[in-house]
Amino acid sequence: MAALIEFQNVTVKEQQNTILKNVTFSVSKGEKVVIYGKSGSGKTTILTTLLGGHKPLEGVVKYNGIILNRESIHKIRTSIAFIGQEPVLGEGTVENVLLFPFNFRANYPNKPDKNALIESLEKAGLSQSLLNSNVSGISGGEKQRIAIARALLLNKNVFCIDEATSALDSQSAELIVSVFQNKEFTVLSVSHDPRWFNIASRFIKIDNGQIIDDTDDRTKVKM
Amino acid sequence: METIDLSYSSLLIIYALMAIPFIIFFNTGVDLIKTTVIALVRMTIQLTLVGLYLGVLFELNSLLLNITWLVVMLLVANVNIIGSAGLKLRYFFIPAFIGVAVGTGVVVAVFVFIVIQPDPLYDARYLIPIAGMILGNCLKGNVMALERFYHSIHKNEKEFSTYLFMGARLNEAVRPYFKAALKAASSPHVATMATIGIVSLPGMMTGQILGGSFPVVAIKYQIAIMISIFTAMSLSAYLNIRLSLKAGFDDFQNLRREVLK
Repeated sequence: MAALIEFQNVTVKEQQNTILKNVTFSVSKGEKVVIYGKSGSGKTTILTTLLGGHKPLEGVVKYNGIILNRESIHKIRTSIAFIGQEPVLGEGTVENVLLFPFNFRANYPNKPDKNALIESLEKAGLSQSLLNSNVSGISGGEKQRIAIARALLLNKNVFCIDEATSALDSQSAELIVSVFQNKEFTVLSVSHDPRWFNIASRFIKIDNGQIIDDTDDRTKVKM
Repeated sequence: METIDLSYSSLLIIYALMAIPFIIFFNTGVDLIKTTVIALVRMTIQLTLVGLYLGVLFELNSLLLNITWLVVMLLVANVNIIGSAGLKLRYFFIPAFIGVAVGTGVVVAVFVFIVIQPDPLYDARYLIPIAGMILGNCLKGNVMALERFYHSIHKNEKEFSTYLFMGARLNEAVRPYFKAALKAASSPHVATMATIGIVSLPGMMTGQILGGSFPVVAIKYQIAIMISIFTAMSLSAYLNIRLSLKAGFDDFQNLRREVLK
């Protein structure tokens, strides 16, 4: 199967520090990949590099056969949903937060109706009664789930997920992970949560900016 | 009505007033005496030179010389704006120069060429002081706009990246910072307009009254200059940010950290 996401010898530097060094891997459509490794090893940078958060010093990043560059960056960003570790929700009610990305021209046509908002909240294990609550008054775990609900509303099939269940209780984390089991979804999840390992078919270990293990055999995974 | 000239000996009395702040600084241990002396000397030299130069400028009243002086003022203003905003000159010099030149140029042209219509139109006596006042008063607003814009994106980089990752184009992702920067730059001017004449008597009006103008004439000029300053500041700050985006952000629309000092 043709690769949906490809990293070919990608090196990323930030202010003289090498964050990724010769990273090469590819991900097929529908694959669920867990990226794991020590903190500061470069896991998140893989996700943000795919989304153009860093410009590779060397190597090529491709999405659906298209090279990540100035011309393609916007198209690639609008094909992938990103869920960060610390959710950036902005201000206002939960409804405002969920609708925020639809203020951007690229997302205008897909503006969801109220039912879709409620459905996305429910998928993230949240009650529709939250819609009118102000985000400033809700808990960290709820914020993380709102960010997930918002990503689901964008109707993408490719997800870059960075420690999205780290602030969730066991039951909520289970529910969230199960949402991404959808076979249509391609998932790159940075996590140490065993629940992600349970649904994943690929396990990539990063250390010091380099891939030191890339396997589909979960028995070989060493945390 | 003639202006009463200040003799050099009477000006010395004014200089002598400086003894009061110096005594206060000395007694309270405020470490500002040396800096103030340097500032005082600089002010005296700079204003003397400008006075001499303006005398020549008014005397010759040459179009080429007037334009040269305006360009010099713009260059100095530009360097000052970029440096004070905590940005590197080599990245922002051209966009900021265009922004300030167009922003102030349009307003100065309307004020001098259409409203006052001196003869000749480029009469240095009108063109130079009005352009100088507008430009000088735009400085702070432009510094604040650029400083607020770039440094708040830098400070909130995660938030800014999230907007881009959610599908925002660069102009959409910068919008909240753009709005905040323009508001920060404009608010002090709005406050000044709201309180002028009550809290303070503006310099231009006072100068004109001292120079022998009728208060009504001075007021009309003051209103015109206040509106011109506000318009020029808003336009130049807007253009400055808008035109600097190419220099401030890379191919992937991320903030180029190297542009910050």
